[in-house]
Amino acid sequence: MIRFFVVLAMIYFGLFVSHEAYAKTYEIMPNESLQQAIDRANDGDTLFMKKGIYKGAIHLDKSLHLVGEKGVIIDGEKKGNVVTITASNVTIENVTIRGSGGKEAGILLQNASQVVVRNNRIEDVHYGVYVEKGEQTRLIDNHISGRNVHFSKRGNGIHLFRTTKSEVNGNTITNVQDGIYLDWAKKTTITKNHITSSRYAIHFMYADGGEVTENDLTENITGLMVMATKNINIIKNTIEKQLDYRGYGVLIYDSDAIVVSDNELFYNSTALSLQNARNCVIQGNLISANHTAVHSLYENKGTTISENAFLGNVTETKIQGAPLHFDNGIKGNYWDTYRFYDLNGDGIGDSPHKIRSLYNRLLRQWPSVQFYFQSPALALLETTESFFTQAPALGEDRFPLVSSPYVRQTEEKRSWGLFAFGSILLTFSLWMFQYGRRMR
Amino acid sequence: MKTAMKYQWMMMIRSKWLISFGVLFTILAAILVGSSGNESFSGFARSTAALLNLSLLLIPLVTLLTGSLFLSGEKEDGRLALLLTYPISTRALIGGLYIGSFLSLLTVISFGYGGASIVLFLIGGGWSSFFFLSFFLTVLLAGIFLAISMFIGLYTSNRLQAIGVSLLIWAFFVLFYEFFIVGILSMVPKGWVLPLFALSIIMNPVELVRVWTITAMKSGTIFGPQLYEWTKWAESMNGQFVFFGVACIWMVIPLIFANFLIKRGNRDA
Repeated sequence: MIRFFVVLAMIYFGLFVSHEAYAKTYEIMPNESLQQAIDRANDGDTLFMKKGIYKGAIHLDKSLHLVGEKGVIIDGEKKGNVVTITASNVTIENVTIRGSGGKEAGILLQNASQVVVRNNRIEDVHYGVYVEKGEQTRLIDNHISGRNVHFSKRGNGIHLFRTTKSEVNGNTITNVQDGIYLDWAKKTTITKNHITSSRYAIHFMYADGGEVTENDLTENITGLMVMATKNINIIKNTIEKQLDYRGYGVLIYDSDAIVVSDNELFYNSTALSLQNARNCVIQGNLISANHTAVHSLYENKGTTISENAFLGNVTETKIQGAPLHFDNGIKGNYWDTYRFYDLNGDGIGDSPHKIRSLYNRLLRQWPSVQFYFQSPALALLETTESFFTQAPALGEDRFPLVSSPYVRQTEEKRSWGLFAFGSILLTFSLWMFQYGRRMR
Repeated sequence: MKTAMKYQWMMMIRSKWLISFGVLFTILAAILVGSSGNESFSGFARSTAALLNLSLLLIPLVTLLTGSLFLSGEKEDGRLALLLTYPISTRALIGGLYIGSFLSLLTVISFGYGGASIVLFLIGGGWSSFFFLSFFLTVLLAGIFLAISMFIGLYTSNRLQAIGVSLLIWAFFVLFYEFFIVGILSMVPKGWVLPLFALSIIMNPVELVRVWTITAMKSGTIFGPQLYEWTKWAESMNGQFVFFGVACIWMVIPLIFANFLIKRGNRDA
């Protein structure tokens, strides 16, 4: 029995030692072939790349840890995918990857799980990172930028296809077609990414379950595009300046149980569009200074919009589908256009906020009326109509809040330029008055 | 020309009418910018739209009324006949009267914008390039309608007629014009939409300034998908120059007609 344990201990120790002996770190110089170094290495080894340019695409089929010194570039020379990973437990970090083929990726992951792609620069590529199947892929703190062509000719920054539990965190993505495209990618966590100049910043297709938090989506055609997807939480994101006429801050299309809460939707052409969005919760967002705050098409069954703050939007709603629920039965939203009082002091206005718009009705009949958006004549007519109209409301907030549930943090913005402008004009006009009166 | 200019300037700036308008404009502008002081960014938002609409509604009205009333009043009281005895050409007379009135209006508009800016500054607002743009275009709008008002003033025979014609023209340009265009648009084939819009902008200075302001702020996307290509062009340098050119034409043509009217009047007399 004792002998048995001794043998076992020896085997175990032997294994341990041999494993130690295996996990080596190799240094690689730019004049060596990176692919040959990979071929020589064994599972668990670390390849440390010295500064310089490594030409040619590589294929990682072992569980290696690839680390670059500052200034390491892997150049795919515009042929195929630059880095192809087909093994699990690979980590690649601190390198610049550039020059994929016409329709290929900077990094392609195929059936590889627990891969970590961290702190890389990926540029001049069609796709940034293309993940095809695999679990728990972690894409962290990468900079991805596509080619400078029209977005219809670009690939996606991060493309997740049939993955589960991936994590996309802290990436900066610009100049791509879709920033992050989730195609049948389940339970993905997307946090603190910064996406600009893309078609859709984040695009869900059949990608159920997942969290989208604290991302910054600015100047894309559309910020968040959620299609045919269930159970996504979209929380605390900043969605700004999606100003294209075709674009939306957030578009929820044919989807179920999407939660959009505590986001800031600021200065978009249309902040939020609901088109067959079922059982969604739109709550506690700041929806401010958009051309149109809420747009709807079709029937949005069971969706409630409550406790949001609507501030300074040019048009609050453009409702082209069934009426929307602008309260959850207890609380509504804060509208800065609401003009009634709260005499019983319960924080809820004493009369419902009715949304009716002559402009909406005209627009449905003649789309060209859009040209006269907020023009003096239409604005005047709309104001007049709001006093007298008997027109049916397009939506109704039965419990409008009288104070904003959301306060936008603003820094001190008092500007002396404004003071200078004002005083110059005032001085000028007063001097002119004086001069004119004293004349002759 | 200088005499005529000085005369007109003196007469207008001493008018209580114009001063009370200046104060009213200042108060309204201050209320508008003050009540929406929480947005400071350079794009087209509700506060911007409101300020723009204030200018588009009030400036043509006041300019038309003051300009035409002064001239028709001069005519009615016989002072214009007196001016015509001066040894100056009719062109210099028209130019002088125009510049004199324009300076008075500029004074009032400066007062309004200056006052509103100071109010916004006091409540802690930020600078937006919209103020400058809006000021510039408002002055231009006043310049255009002043030219039209001079023509009206010379065409009509007394003050009452001048008021009537001014109000009618104001209502047409500011209130009815858009519905009129929408009415036509609903009847014509689709291909005509763009040329018709382009024509409608050229034919109405209020539209011109409205579209110009919005495109100069690069917010043309609010015009919608149908006019996307046109908006791109309008926002470009070329487009902006064309706007300026059309504005100049709008100032010059009524003055030429006014000059023609005076000359004809001279021959008749």
